[in-house]
Amino acid sequence: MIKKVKRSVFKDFFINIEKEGAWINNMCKQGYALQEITDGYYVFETSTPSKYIYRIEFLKQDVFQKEKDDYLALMKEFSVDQVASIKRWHYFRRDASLGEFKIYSDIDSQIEHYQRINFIWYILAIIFISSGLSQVFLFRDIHTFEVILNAVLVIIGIFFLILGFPLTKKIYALKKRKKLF
Amino acid sequence: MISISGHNTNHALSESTYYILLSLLAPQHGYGIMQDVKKMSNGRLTLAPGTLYGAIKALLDKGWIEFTNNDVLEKRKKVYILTNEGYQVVQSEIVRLKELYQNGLIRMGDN
Repeated sequence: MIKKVKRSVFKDFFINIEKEGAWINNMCKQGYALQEITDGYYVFETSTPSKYIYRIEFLKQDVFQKEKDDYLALMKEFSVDQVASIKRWHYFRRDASLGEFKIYSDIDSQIEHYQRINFIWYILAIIFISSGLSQVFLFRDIHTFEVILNAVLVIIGIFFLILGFPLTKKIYALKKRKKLF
Repeated sequence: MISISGHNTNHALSESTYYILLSLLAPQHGYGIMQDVKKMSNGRLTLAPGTLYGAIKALLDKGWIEFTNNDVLEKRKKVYILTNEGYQVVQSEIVRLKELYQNGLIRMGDN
């Protein structure tokens, strides 16, 4: 049986990797295994509860552009299937009976993965917030319309900051742990 | 006290890198490396695919490992082997590890 859940278009821009991953795994626990993401829907298929472990990865730019086939081939060797991809975001799963499934097994590569994501969030935050604030410094009359538009830009920028902060905290914690090893 | 002389004194290999290099004394494909490392470390170290992929790429770039033909192993899968340079790196790492180990024994006693 198929169950479809609407996926907000905002998710294409504001994806919270931790929350999204937890939600998909939780759905799987309840017997709904994510099969694909198409036309704005998550498509789940009923399965034995907890059949798969899902992980989301933000691929490296050059892996995404030039080496995707190589990478997916290695994933296949590890019995990992790609269920969906949205731009550089890739959704993978592996049968839970094969044991714990991680994409990154050491602290360095975990840090690198979070940094790769955060680089994008902070760049976008800077772009939106600075373009939203830029007119404030022009010292001329601005229309209400412009004020609203600029406020929206700043708010979008703040959304990106909100996505970035928890990951920055994680990176910090991982780095602290690493200091002793 | 025992100390190392020679090159490569300032760069310790990561545990994953060290074991991947050791594993590639014989030709292996990606999944084979993971299984071999798991076996060598008695199940302690399980390389995850993203980490392994990144390490393989970096080692290829450095010229410490290279592609080799895969008549023996299954076709389609990429197979890697240690280069001479990679071999040297492992050897000097073993010298460094030996220093760590022996100094540990000297100071802590070997029971």
